[in-house]
Amino acid sequence: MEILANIAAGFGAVLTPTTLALMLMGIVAGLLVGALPGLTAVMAVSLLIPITFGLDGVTALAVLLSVFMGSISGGFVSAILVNTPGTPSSIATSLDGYPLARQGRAGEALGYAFITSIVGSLIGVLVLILLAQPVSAIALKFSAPEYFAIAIFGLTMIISVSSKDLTKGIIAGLAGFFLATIGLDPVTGVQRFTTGSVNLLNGFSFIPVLIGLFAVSEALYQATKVAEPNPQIEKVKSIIPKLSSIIKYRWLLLKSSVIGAFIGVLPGAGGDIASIVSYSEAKRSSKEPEKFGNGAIEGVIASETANNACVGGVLIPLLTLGIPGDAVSAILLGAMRMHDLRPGPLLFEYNIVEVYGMYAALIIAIIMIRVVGIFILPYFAKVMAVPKRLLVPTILLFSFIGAYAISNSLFDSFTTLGFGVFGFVMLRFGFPVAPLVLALILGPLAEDKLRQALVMSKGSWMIFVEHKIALVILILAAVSLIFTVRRQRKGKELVDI
Amino acid sequence: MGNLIQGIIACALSILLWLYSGKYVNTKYDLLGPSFFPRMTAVLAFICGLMLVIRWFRKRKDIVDSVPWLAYLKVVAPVVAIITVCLLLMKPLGFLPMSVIFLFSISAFLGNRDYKFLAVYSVSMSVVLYVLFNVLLKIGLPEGVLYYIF
Repeated sequence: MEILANIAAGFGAVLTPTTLALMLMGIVAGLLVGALPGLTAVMAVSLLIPITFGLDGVTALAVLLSVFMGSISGGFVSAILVNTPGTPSSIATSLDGYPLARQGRAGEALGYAFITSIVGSLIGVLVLILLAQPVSAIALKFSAPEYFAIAIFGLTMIISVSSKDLTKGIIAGLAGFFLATIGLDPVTGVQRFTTGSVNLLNGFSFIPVLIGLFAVSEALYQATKVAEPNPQIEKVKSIIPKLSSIIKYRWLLLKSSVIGAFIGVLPGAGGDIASIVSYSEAKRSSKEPEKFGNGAIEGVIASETANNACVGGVLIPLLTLGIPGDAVSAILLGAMRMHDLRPGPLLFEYNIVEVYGMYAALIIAIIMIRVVGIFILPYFAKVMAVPKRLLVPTILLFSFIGAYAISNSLFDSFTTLGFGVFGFVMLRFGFPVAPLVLALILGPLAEDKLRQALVMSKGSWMIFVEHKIALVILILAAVSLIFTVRRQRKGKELVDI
Repeated sequence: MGNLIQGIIACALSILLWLYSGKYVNTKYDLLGPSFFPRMTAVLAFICGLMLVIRWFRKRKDIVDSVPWLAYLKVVAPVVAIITVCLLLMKPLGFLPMSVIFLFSISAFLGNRDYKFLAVYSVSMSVVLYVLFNVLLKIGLPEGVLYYIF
């Protein structure tokens, strides 16, 4: 009965005209951003955070989740039409989607991608609703050693999966670690690396750093590509598949959804990994694997189902442990803190309405995407024709004003600019940005909990052996790192596509 | 040369970080102290920097070697300069005039030659953003010269 009451309260918090209208705008914005190559879900969510300042917690998160889901759903459009995934999550979609488009079956590919992405999203949300509360109950028993171990596990996973070059991934993570130490020391209050600046007493503000690293760096890169012509695309009429056609692929849908949801749970693994792993598995288990890469609709289904199911999975470590599963959930973590919501096991004790509000927002967003997408899908081609010469300055302006709006501080705008340039240079040097961002979040958690643990044990490192859960997690972290080193030495790709 | 330069920079910065962190003194109540994490970061970064240098000596090709740096610099440097000037002008000029200049100048620099359309676009987009942030979201943006005019 309590669950029903919570569900009712959650839907009640979201089903207001203002929230629904804002979610609709978020979905349209997300679908458009997802469809545009070069603009990512991370960029969209980070740019829109300042807009949610004046909103209450549930509405703000509902809008951001709508943008997130919209952009993941929209990523398949350019993947299929122009062989350029709109978001990294649609990488594997282009492998069969584009060949289908070249065979004159673009409408069919778009239709299947659209419907199966919705199925994947629903299953992912179901996994979230079923697993989040039990996981948070376990997490209530965690203390400093366990949290330290989880932070280290998250860091090693991030580095393992987010970079083809392990050394550069580790350096990016260490850069994030260092940036996280700027400001007041959490235990002694000593000022570290502040250079006497009052603005740095609390370190760099998280949102401007995110906007800089993800939105500004990408906009600067797109500025160097303005001379490239926009792809010419005919208006495509999507063909929504019949229910019987969808049912034919039911086992593939279920398998891909489960893969996506559980990969999303792993810290550091996001939609791109889910998409590739699911595609590989579909190819491996197919009766006609030779068709993959040449226009197999199963490839599109596997990829899009998994990357959308991943959305639900990614939220599990975020809500239950306060550990972001990927870059977007790192942004959502920042947004939740801004609205006085503390992700972690106590969230389910003190903010249960907000949690169920998020579940309700996800379900409503999925339905809205279904309805909205049918109308605007045929017009995506026009969106992709927007010249970069207009798009880039607009995104840049939005970024700096958004950063300024956080605390009416020019310092934040300059922080965004600085990290935008830094991110641009990092990416061109081959250093991934995601490990830096996640280390920026997990680094303070790791340091704080390690020092707390040693105070608890009066300086004995054996506390990490005595706490069995912490020991197991640290062993998993070490195993993950060893596997990655071995994989890189053998020169093997993450998945053989 | 990419790996070599990156490796040397990583090693040099990690040495600086190690030395600078030494001034943060431990207390008796805290086993690790404020210098532990920065110094641990410095040690790991130094090792990674060495690995990059070793990689260069093993003559492994790096992504950096094929990056058109000069072409990037010709675009990114002026854009960053325009952004910096505009941000510095935001408070004295105000958000609206600054954003019109921002959009117009960056778009024109990137090659947009339809100046009439650009002027209309810059003004209308600036007004839209002003209404969105200042009026709807009630986030105070600098008024600058408009304060004295209106």
